[in-house]
This record gives sequence, C-alpha cells and structure tokens, in this order.
Amino acid sequence: MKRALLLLFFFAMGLNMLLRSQITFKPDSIYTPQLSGTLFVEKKYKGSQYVTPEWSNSILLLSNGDTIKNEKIKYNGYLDEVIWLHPKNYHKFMLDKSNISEFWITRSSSLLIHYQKIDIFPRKANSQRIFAEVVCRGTVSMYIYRKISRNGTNEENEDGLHYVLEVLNPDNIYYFELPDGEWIEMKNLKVDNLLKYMPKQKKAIVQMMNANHLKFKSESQCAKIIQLINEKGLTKYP
Amino acid sequence: MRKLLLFGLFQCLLLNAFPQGFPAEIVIMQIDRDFYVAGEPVLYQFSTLNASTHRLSDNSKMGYVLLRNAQSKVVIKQRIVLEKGSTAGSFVLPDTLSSGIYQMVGFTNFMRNFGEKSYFQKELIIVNQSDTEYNFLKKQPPLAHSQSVAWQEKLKITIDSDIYLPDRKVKVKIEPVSGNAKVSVSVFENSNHPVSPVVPKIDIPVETTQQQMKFQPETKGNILMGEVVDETTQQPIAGAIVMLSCVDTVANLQYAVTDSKGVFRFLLSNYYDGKELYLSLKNGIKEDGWKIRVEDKFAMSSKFRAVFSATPDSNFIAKSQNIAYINKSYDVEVYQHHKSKENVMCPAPRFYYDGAKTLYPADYSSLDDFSEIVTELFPFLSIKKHANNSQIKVGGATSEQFEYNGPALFLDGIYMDNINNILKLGSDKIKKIDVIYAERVLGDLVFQGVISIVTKGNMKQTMPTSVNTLKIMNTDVANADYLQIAAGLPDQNRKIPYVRQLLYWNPSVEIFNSKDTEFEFITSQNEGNYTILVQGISDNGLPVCVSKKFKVKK
Repeated sequence: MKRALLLLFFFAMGLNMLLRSQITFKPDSIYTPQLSGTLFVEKKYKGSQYVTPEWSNSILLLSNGDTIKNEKIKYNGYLDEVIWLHPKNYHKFMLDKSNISEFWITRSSSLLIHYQKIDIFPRKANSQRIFAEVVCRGTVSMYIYRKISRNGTNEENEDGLHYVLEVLNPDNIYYFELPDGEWIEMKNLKVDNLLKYMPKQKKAIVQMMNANHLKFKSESQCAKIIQLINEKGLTKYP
Repeated sequence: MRKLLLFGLFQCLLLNAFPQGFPAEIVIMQIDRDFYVAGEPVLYQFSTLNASTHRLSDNSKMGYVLLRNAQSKVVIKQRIVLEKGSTAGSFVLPDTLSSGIYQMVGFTNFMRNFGEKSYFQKELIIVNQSDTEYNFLKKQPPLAHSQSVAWQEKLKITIDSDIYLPDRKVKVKIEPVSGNAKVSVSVFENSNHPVSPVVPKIDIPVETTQQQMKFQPETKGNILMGEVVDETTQQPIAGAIVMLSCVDTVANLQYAVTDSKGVFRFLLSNYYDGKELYLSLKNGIKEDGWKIRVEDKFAMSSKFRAVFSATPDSNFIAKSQNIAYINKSYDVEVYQHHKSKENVMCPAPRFYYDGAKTLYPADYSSLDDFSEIVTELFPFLSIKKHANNSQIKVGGATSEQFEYNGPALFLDGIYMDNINNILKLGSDKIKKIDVIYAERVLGDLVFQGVISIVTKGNMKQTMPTSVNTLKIMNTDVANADYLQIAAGLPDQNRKIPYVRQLLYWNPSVEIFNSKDTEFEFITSQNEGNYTILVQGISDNGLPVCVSKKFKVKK
C-alpha cells in the first residue's frame, strides 16, 4: 500500500512538473518594450570615449516607465550617450536619449553604477540635460558627470601611415543639488564651495567631518559626507 | 508517512486542477435598476473578484460591458478602466431603442478563456418613450427566477417609517457585518415585480486547458489581438511583422511578430485611446495575399434567450414614460457627470526624437509631386521605379551593412510601407518633411533612414488604405467620465417639477464590522412603492444583500 502511494505521489509530482514546464502562457511576453536609436559609427580617438569600456549588462528605465533588462550597453562620456550592442545584428546603436530616463550598468556581479538623466541648472539659461552618475540622493544630492573631453590632438604614425587623433581624457564634473533647488557645479571637490551655500550649517558640517575623519576631496568620502548631512538632517536651519 | 504522502498527492492534484499564475476571475455588477425608459442612463458598479476567494481581484486593469437586445445584437459597447478591481460606470440608453428585454454583460479579457457562461449577465427591461402597445410583454415566456438568492451574509437595514411624504428626508441605517463589506446602494421605484439582486456565480465553467489559454489577462492595459492569415488558404502566417501607428504630428510606431498560430498582440497604452489605429504588414507589397484580422472582444457566440423572471405592469411602464418625458421636457438635471481619477497620459511611441533635417516645401518654388520634391530638394534621396512600384532609397546612409529595407516612411505619423500612395502629393499639400539619413533601429527592425511627411490637413485620413492595411477604431475608455445621480434638495420654488424614480444611487458604500453605516436621501413628488437595494461582497468574500420597501404617499 505504501509503495503504491509512493508511486502515485511521484507520478503526480511528475505530472505536475510536466504540466508546469509546458505552459505556453507567458503573460508578460507582449509587454517587452523595444529600444530605439540610430546607427553609431565609432570614430578612433587616443584615449577611450567610454566611461565603461566593456559591454556590460544593464537595466534601462525608459521615459514611459518601461524597464528593459540585460541589454549590453556602454556609456559614452564624450557624446553623453548610451551605446547599445544589438543582440541580433551586433551593430552599435546610439539609443534615443529622450527615451531613457535612468540606467544601471553592471560593473561586477554585485556593483551596479546608476546613471540618471538630470536637468542641471534648470532655472538658468544654460540649463543642460545630461546623464550623471548618481552618488547620493536625498535632501542634498550628489551626481558625477563622467564627462570625457577633447584635450588637443596627437600625431600618430603607424606602418608609415601618418594621421592625427584627437586626445580624450576623463574630465569629471561634480554636481550637488541643494534643498532649495539650487545646483552647485565643481570641477574639483572643495568643501568651501559647498559650505558657502550652507553658511548656517557650516560649523555642524565641519564638526561632523572631523569627527568621522572624512576629507571632501575624495569622491567616496565626499559621498559619505553628503550621506551623513542627509542622515543627520544638517540641511535644516538650527 | 501515509498521511504525508496522501497530503502531498492531494496538493499536486490540486495544483494541476487550476490555471497557474493567474487565478480565474468573475465579474459582478450592481445596476441601479432593472427597468428603464430609452434615453435614461444605466448606472452600474463593475467589480472583478477572484473566483475562489471572492475577494476583489487586482489582476485585470480593463473590463468590458455590453448591452444586447433580444436578437443578440450588441447596442452598447464599453471598455472601462478598473481601479484595484472595480469601478463605477454608466451609459445612456439611446432614445431609439425599441421596447424589449435586453441583456447586460460584463467580463474581462481573461474570462474569455472560460467561455461566455462565466460572464456576468443580467436582464434589463427597456421601453421606448413612444411605445404604447408593450407588445414585448405579451411575447414574454414564463420563467422561474434563474438566479436564486442565496446570500451568505444577511444585512440588516432600518428606516424610521414605512410611508413617507414627498420631499421628505429618509435616513437609512445599515447594521455592521462580520468583516467589512463594499456594497452598492440603490433606491428606486418599482412595480410589483420582485427585485432580482445579482448573485455572483460560484462555479466557473472551465472549458479550456492551460495550454489553450488564448486571452491574456490585461494586467497592464488594453491588449489588441489579431492574426495574419493567407487570404486564399486561410492558413495562419507565422513570423509576419505587423506595424501599428496612428495619425499624429509625430511619427509613431510599434510592431509585433506573429507566433506559430499567426497571432499577434499589442499592448495599447492610453495614448491610443479614442484614436484610429493603422495596422499594416512590413514588406506589405511583397506579401500581397496576407491579411490582418483583428478580434472583436465584444463578439459573443451564444445567443441571448430573452427571458425575465418578472415584468412590470403596463400602468407602471406608462408612468415611467411620463416621468422620463417630464424630466426631459423641463431639462431637469437628474444626473451629473463625475470624473474618475485622471490617468497620466502616456507619451507617443515616437519613432525618432531628434537628428532629423526638416524641410518646408512652402519655402521653395512649387513642385507638382513628391518625385519632383525628392529630385529637387533632397540630393541624398532617390526614387526608383520598377514597373508599377516605386521605391525610395537613402543614399547617405551606410546601408550596405544591412539587408536593404529602405527608409521608414511616415505620412501624418502613420507608418507606410508603400511610397506609391504618396507620389502624387505636391508641395501644395505637404506642410513639412523630416529626413534622417542614418539607419534607425526599433527593437529588431533596422531601417535605412526615416522620411516623415506631415500634410496640410491630415491627408492620410482621406487616403484609401492599401490591401493589407487595416484601419480600426480604438474606442475611448468609457468610465473616464460617468453619470451619478444628482445630489441636493429639490427646488423649493417649484419652478421645475421634482419627480424621480431613482432616488439614490451610490455604487461604492463601505459597511463596517464595528459601526452602523448611515446615508440619507430625499423623496420626490412621485408617489409609489420604492425599494432600497443594498448588495455587494464582504471582505471575507461572502455576498451580502438586503432590500427594504417603503411607500411615498401624500
């Protein structure tokens, strides 16, 4: 009796697995959004035009709220564009910037770099819409525009062929969004540039930095400082 | 051990007995009345419930309501948006409806897998304003009540009197139930015919297996489904690419590929609501014998057997016609519009955003047709004629890397696979031309470039569609704006008569398990027998209902 029951049990388990494996009903199959862009013809430079030189898996959040996962992309810091490696024809396409609001690039199995399309200086005439790396979001937010700039030209000679290449170098720009909507731009991380916008909190911030042995000049420590400013509510007036 | 094995076996069999992923749904609708004069609105509450738990189901975001006559002809079709499984709605009965018994039907796309027997169905009596014969009453076959009232949870309702004077306030108290409940409340005049509350059907007739499930639950919005077939052999075409766009100032495109059964599906955002959709086949010229068919969600295969458990008497019908006539003559605002929560409008699925070179033909000397425009104004475009067919090519694109596909051609926002239809357009008819000379990608489709033409006065709408292009109307959502009974006291100066048969309607009333629920309404000058009907579902998934009668008499 026990053996018969055991057999019946395994038979039912098998049937269950068989039926489940045969399900053709995939409710989300029609919900897969499509990426759009223009063919990207890569130019040769001295130095990389990409912030992320390897094709990396990604998560793309489109402007209409759709999410696309596992597409291979690179972030081009020279053009401030996302380049997509088409999985079927293996051509490179520059994705429509207007169609993307945020994206995450996998750097390692556990590290995702988050980029967001932000309007810097939205109230000013020189307002710009860029993809910036999100370092810290809160009452005070910190973003890094991983810009790659042209820095002169370099003459090259290869197999007797003489040609001129534009030289590209990383040229990070740091942006801080303050609670009143004001934006601060820094080419180099200097704490005084931040503190002059927060005179009433200056003393508390300096004390907090000293207590935690943090230096504003380092990107990671700067991120920690902004995180602590948000956590300790140092943006509020005393 | 034996018990454990038996339990495991039972679990396995149970799991296989039900569709996986999405539980079966049922629809229940509460309707303000069951008798109407043509021209009056029907007010309703539409709720989707999990078929096994009877709790509100949030799976489907779309619901469908239709009204069909005794000949099974559909006279009203509505697509409604559901908010957490339910919504209020209404439709106005056309003045021209003939007298008879009609059937109101409610369902979701997912329910279509289980057959029409699983749909919500309720019979309504509608009388034309000018009908004096009431012949439909004579044809009425006798029938016992089809849905016996088997309410699991009885409600208790109290009013302070059984007889009220006209223009008097009536206070109603509903006693608590075990577990909260959501109900609809209707107070209406009825003849001596018994009120038939709607009992949700407990057993769902499963007529299909998991593998045969064709209709997907609309968890994210409206799904447009269709098929591509060979017109001669009627065989389904797998792998056909169906393009979808609509008239707009921007070029817009979505595409779907047919599966092994020739079926394609599009998820339509609210951008497409109330718009004419153009469906065409990519490489349509080459695939001459292929045809696109779109399924009609409202099509019902079963015939409606017009039966009703009880009908009102002819005096009551004549009185109702008079009241409808009075309210219409005096233009009495018995109902008022109510806007449901506004949904954020989805952006157009634009084919391109920037990078286009724009040219306004009006800035140049007049040219007779599009070929001339291309020759004179676009040095990198060329039109090649092959017999009766012409093709446009983008010269500047690095197109050799791809199989030749030609540029994506749009006319007034709509994707066109055939340039021949627009060759006759001269600069007097074209407002603007956008051209992108680089390859554009959309999903797996690569185009040699883009040419988007905007005409003066949307010429696309007046142009004949090609053989394998299908033009369909995607109706607007019906419950963005629905009718509710107008609140407020009657006009004390009596300039306008205050005669109503529907005194109160609230599609969504919360009944609590700890305190009484109270509401009030005003009686009208219309003397008669009235019914307070409360019906809905408790949070425990049990149907709840109560009705109470009272009189209005001078």
